[in-house]
Amino acid sequence: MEGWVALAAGLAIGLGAIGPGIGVGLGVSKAMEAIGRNPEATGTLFLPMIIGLAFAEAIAIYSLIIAFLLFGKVG
Amino acid sequence: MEFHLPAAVTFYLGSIPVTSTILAAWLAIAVLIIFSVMATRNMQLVPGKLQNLAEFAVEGLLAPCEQVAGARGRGFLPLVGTLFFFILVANWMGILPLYAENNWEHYVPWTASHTAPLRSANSDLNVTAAMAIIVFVWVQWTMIRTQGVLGWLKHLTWGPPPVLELISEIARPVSLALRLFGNILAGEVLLLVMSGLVAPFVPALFMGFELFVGIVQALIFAILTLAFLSLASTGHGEEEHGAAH
Repeated sequence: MEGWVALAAGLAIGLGAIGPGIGVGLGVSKAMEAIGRNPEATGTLFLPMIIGLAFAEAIAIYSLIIAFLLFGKVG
Repeated sequence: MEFHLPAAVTFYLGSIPVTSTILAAWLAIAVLIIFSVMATRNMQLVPGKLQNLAEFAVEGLLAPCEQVAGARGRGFLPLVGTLFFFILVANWMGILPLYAENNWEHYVPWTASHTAPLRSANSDLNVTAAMAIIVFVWVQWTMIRTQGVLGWLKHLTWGPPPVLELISEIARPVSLALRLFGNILAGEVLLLVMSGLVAPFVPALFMGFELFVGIVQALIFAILTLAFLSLASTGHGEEEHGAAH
């Protein structure tokens, strides 16, 4: 049983990181593209990009917390 | 190399347990108060070193406040700024050697116990949840103040399924608290694992990374608070006419 819980903890963060990883990648790639096209916009782009990344990253953090909780059961 | 999710109790105040994270939060507050008092004690038109730093910090936060919320931004600065500086100072102080509950034994080999007296304040969900609840209450209050009780109730039941906005309002503080907690906790665990694997020089690089994470998370918490407050003080009608920006 403990083995399954440890596996679940690994899978929780492993699978949970896929979506946010893609999301963060897309967000930053578009922001970099925009900065490349218009370098003066760096200042205005930075804050919205960070906010967007925070939303995407939060999902990964949820699965990380689940992984910690499961890992705590194993010891 | 063992990690404990709940913070260890450092001492008892009467019958109230004071955990290592609460103690760290108090220390961060003390540092901020001492800095503020020293920086504003003898204010001059041509600022000295400390006053200059304080002015730089406040003006640096005022700019995004006014960028996001326009003329109302100045009113949001006290809460947003307090949260930013508290989180920033608490995160950065959490990397100091005495704090590391988890890698305590790597610095001081003769301590057998895993409990250090201090631990990064935001690696405790109680601390981050307390801040998120303050933000939640203040956002609701801002909404009531600017749109009236009826407008507030109308906002909460807005949309095709009437519970949609309600769920979104409740999900916001939960996500705020969990994001900060998860990030700082993950940093602590990362440092623990790294100092267990390759001590002593490689963890220093990750501490540098944690400095970066600390300021980014403080910025995100503050900016999201600002965005929620800014949204709360603009009604649905205004949003639809594009007057919000």
